[in-house]
Amino acid sequence: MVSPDPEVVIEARNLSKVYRDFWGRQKVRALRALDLTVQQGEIFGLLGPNGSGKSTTIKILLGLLFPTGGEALIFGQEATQVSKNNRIGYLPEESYLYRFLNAFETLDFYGRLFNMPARERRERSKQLIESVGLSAAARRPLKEYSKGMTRRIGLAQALINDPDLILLDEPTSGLDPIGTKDMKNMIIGLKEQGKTVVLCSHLLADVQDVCDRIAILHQGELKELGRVDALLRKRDLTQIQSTQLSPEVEKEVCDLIRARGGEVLSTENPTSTLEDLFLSIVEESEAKPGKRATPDGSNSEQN
Amino acid sequence: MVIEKPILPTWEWLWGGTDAVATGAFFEFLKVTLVLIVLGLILGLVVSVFRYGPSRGLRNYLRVLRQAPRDLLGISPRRVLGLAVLAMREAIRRRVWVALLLFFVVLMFASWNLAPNSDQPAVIYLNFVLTAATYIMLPVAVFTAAFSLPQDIKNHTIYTVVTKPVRPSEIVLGRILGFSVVGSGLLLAMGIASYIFVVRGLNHTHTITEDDLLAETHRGQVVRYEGETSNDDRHRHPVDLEARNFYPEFEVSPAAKVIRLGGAAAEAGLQIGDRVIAIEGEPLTEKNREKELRRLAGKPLSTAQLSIDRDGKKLELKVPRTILETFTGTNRGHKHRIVTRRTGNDGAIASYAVGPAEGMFLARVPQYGSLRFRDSKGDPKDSRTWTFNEQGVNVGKIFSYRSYIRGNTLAAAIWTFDGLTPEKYPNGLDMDVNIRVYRSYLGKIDAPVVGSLSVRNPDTGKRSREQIFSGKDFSIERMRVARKVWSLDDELIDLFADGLITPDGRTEIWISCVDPGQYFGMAEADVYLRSRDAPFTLNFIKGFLGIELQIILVTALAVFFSTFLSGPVSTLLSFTTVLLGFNKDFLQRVVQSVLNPEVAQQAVAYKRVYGGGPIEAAYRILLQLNITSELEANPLTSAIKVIDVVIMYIVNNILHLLADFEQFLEVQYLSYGYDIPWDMLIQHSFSVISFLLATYVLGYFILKSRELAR
Repeated sequence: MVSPDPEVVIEARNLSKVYRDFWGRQKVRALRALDLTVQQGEIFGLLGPNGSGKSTTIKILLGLLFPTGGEALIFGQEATQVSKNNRIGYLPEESYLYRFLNAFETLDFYGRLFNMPARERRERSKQLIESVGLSAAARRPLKEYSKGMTRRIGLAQALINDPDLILLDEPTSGLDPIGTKDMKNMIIGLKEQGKTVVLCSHLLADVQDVCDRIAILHQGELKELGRVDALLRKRDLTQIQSTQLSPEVEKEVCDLIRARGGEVLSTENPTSTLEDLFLSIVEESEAKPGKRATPDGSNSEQN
Repeated sequence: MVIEKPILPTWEWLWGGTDAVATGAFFEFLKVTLVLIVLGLILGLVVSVFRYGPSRGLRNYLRVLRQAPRDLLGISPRRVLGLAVLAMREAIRRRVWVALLLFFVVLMFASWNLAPNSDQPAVIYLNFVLTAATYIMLPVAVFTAAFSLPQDIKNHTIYTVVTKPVRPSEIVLGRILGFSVVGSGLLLAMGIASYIFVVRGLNHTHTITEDDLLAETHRGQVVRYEGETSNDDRHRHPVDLEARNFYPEFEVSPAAKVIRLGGAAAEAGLQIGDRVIAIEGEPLTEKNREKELRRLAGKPLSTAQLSIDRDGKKLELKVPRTILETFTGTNRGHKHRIVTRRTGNDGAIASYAVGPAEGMFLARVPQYGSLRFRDSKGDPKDSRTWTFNEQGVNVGKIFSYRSYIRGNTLAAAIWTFDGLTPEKYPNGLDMDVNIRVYRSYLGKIDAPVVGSLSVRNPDTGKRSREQIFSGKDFSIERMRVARKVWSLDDELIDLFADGLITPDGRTEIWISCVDPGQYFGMAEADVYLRSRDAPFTLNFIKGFLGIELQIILVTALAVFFSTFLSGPVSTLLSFTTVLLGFNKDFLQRVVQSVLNPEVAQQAVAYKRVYGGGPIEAAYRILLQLNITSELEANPLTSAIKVIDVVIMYIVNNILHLLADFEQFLEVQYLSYGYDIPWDMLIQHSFSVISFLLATYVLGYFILKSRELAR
């Protein structure tokens, strides 16, 4: 076994995966020669379109699939080793949980699988249910849960063992913007506790907000790998944001840029993203319940 | 039911007999384990190399092998329990309790259809509940167990489980455990319901009124009453009351202390706690107390002279004999106790009380002997071969199980029993005799063919006078050779003390047929001694334990199949295994008939199955050949035979792995009223455990080497 570098949590060497049918005929080459390392304490994002090999990578790392070539090491151990699971939390793509159990029973069951004593299981379950905001629904069976609640109990079960490494498969899929924001906060909170998070997603905005480093996969191949801020910075482009800029001043600035040899590509009033708008509306409505007075009074016209 | 194969003591079963004919089950287990390990190692390597290429395949293979011991042995009870509880919840969520409802519904309507006029209602009732419980529970166990794991994989719920530190072994074990517990719970409920149904359903009493009885007088004095009970539960019992069997109205403990007291005895001055020390002037001795107490009986309203000990004082009392205790005649396999009271000075019978049915539910503990024959000339040896007769004559059916002795000749069937002690048989030898009657002429068809029975000391040759009995076909005759029998010199002698049984407890029972020209047919298991009966309730529990073992076995098999097959396919395979398992004996005969036709023909002649192996059978069908006719010798048929032998060789080896459901005879023992030997239950538990072990280990390797995600 390779001497484990304590800083390296995940190491994929030349990892490849070929799906075959029953007769051993090759069907899909899902992953080709992937090299990847994830350091301790970072949030690592795996990006890519559907079918690019993100989930395959995660499943190989978890030992749910066996690589066709190469090696996947987690905490310096082979991914197929069961004992590594003691330090791992996994939130699958759709929270695949037993729908006839309620939240408490679910966490109790997964706690048992970590060989946790009863008292510890109880305390930990209670604490996790509170932290994901499911206290009110803790005694309802999961089949009555909404998608967002299911995601949250899924996250809670992934954290039951206080893992060092958390693998999240599409953590924000199916969540409303508030849920997405909560999830992102949760992920950043985990990082602050010194935990390593690996997530894969095709919702780029989410990844951009939380990830330290990303890898972009396409058709099973690694296309890009690096720090998010470094990757996204465009070095010869400068954006100026200002308030109280009259058209005259704007023209002056543009002229100045041109005079100095630069090129003005566009000048516009930035619009807020829909997400920002939605979030601010929801926050406002939580502060002041009732009908919202819109600035242009369009609501009152309809009445 | 005839118990053909007596159950070996567990120790002998496990380690093999001293005669070294049968190898012990443990060695068989070792052999199979070893073969399975070798086969598994080779097969695993081949599959691994095939799937991952030579170098990677070998590496994966070695890794699985390296991790196996820790995963198989280092399982965590808490995790297994968690998984078992989950399996139980899942089973309950799938409404397995519907099976229970079904069972109750079946019970509710059963008594309409359970042949009410049968001779053995208990057998029919027990057979019915046990069969219903087995046939409802086996599919339920298969369905719940076979669909669980495939469903988990299909729903991807397995992802969240196997990404926890759970060993594949724990997943298999947890499931087997959980589903077995659910099955046991259901079976427990069924058992309780069955018990109540059978015992309450057959419980009944009758009434007797004076009008039912006819007095028989002798010289003006009534000696007996004859008649019938009332018709309850669709039958009557004959009643025959001896007029000389009246007792004083009290009951004594084994130590002769008065424990219950009736009115007339209390009036005479008897009190509870008094100890009877003498009856009619004869003191009660320690040894013969039971016999002496019979002196209490006498004519109605006469008085019994008792000496009693009350707190150290000796008292003399005269207690009138006012009650009669006897049994009705046996009908439908049971009888009732009748208690009669006589009150008033005129001696008129005032009332009868008929107790509950007795002898309906039996748990007989048979003791078998070994059988040999004497031929019609009385010779112990065959005149041509000079070997001891192990068979009687044959009356036509070549492959008959029983062999026959001719009536009114010196032919006899001789059973030798050993290990007889006065402690085991204090009242003499109770025995069940189950004899086939072959009539060479019709005679009086409703008159039984008469047989005789005697006891003989195998060492000294001393024998008792013959007892006459009537041989009825297809029924078990309950007979007793009393403790005191008449010797050939017309003396009343004791079986044990006077040398009819050797000091080391051996004796012979000789049975012969009296009617000339008629035949009695018998086999070794047809005559057995009954020392004591085991409690029926315990036997009932044992019977359900037998079903329980089958449920666990089926559950384990279904879980094992579901580790590599989809739900429907593993269900199908489980059912196939159970079906084959119930016919294992036949399959073995088929295989042996192909592999060793000569041996099958000679040694177990009646067991040969004709028609050959699969290819030969197909060939015969194609050419419309009779199954017993020899095939024409040509290259094609010899090739067919060779292929069949190869196929059957493989089948033979697979058969070794097949669970022998035919063995699970607990249910039959229970319903036919035999005590289920503990040895049988223990041996079955051992085989179930070995199957559990195999499914556990194999299931682990399959789950471990299987990609659970797609």
